Amino acid sequence: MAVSVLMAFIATITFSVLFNVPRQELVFIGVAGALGWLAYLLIVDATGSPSIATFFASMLVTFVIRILTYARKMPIPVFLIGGLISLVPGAGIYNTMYALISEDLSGAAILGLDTLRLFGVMCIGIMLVLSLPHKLFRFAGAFNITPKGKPGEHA
Amino acid sequence: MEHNQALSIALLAGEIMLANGAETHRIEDTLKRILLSLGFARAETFVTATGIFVSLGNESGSSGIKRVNARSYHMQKIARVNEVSRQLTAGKITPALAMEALETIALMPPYKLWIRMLCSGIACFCFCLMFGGGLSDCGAAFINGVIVCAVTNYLNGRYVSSFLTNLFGGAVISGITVALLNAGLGHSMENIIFGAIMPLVPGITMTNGIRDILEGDFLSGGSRMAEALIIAVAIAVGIGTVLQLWAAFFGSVTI
Repeated sequence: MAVSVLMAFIATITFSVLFNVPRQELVFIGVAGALGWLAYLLIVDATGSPSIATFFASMLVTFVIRILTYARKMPIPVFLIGGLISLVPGAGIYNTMYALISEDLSGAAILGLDTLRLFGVMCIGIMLVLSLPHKLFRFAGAFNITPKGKPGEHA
Repeated sequence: MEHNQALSIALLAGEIMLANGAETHRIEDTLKRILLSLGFARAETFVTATGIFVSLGNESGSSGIKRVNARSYHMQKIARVNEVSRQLTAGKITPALAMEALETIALMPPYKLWIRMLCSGIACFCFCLMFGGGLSDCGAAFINGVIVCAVTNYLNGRYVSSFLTNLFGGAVISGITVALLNAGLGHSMENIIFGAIMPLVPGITMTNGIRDILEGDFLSGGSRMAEALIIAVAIAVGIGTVLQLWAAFFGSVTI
């Protein structure tokens, strides 16, 4: 599990590079992604249900990200995109299509609905935390860990 | 304050944000703040997934429209525009300086291609391992990630539509995967592809769509969700086509 969480940390960071996230934010985003994956693994272990795990893990990631946006004075998409990538059911899309081209139509329907459910559950998790009032997160601004230079600059 | 100058600042700021992956409600909010701080009492902004409309509620009724076609994801630009708008509304910089800063931001380069290719490869490697692949599968996913990044970068630079870009991306992934499997690298085709498609999967488009819908902007949210669906279909079609062709030529996926 430790290896898997470390991989989630690295994957989140390298994935964020593809979206040109500022260099100073990469470590923070990696921590958010790793925490989300750790929560996902633990909850899947405890309940055996990927949808419950996706729900709570995406809530946790979004919560951490909202704190980060205040602490780092960055707009939320900078963190949101990379932070949630580990939880996106990309494999489900592939499985659905593979079932389709193997002419396993009932399998494709089941897998497709399952993937759709995971996406939906993830959406609800994100939406719930995003709709929390700003007041709750204002305390994070007091940490003041913004860099001295202009944000977003990189060599 | 000149109307034209105010409009061009707002439109340029909006264009940079929209073309680089910010949610529409955030853009509307930012532009409105900028215009109000420049002394226009009744500014209105309306942003969809493909265009920006700004109107200054004065006697002459100035307004501006900007069509935005380009779609890339450059978070540094969004962060910098956010910073400029914050400074402008706080009165720390003049509108002329803000315009200059925005023009600089518009030209900011992305990370270098070799860095992105390497990162794409590492990300695919890690995802493959997270989803249960063995080390040789991860190696194949790494090679996939590096090549797919170069291919999509090439196609994006030539303004190929996102549907075709992702279709080619999916086709390249399954082509390389099957070729590597036959060459003896990797054991599980599924695990390699699980890892390798992650950089193409439209997670960012979907989360932006949700954000828009949450803010009550169903028009942009709906179109972003549709975009995400189209991209997913494109990837799947790309992968499926190559696998089918390979199976048709060689009888089965592995020779």
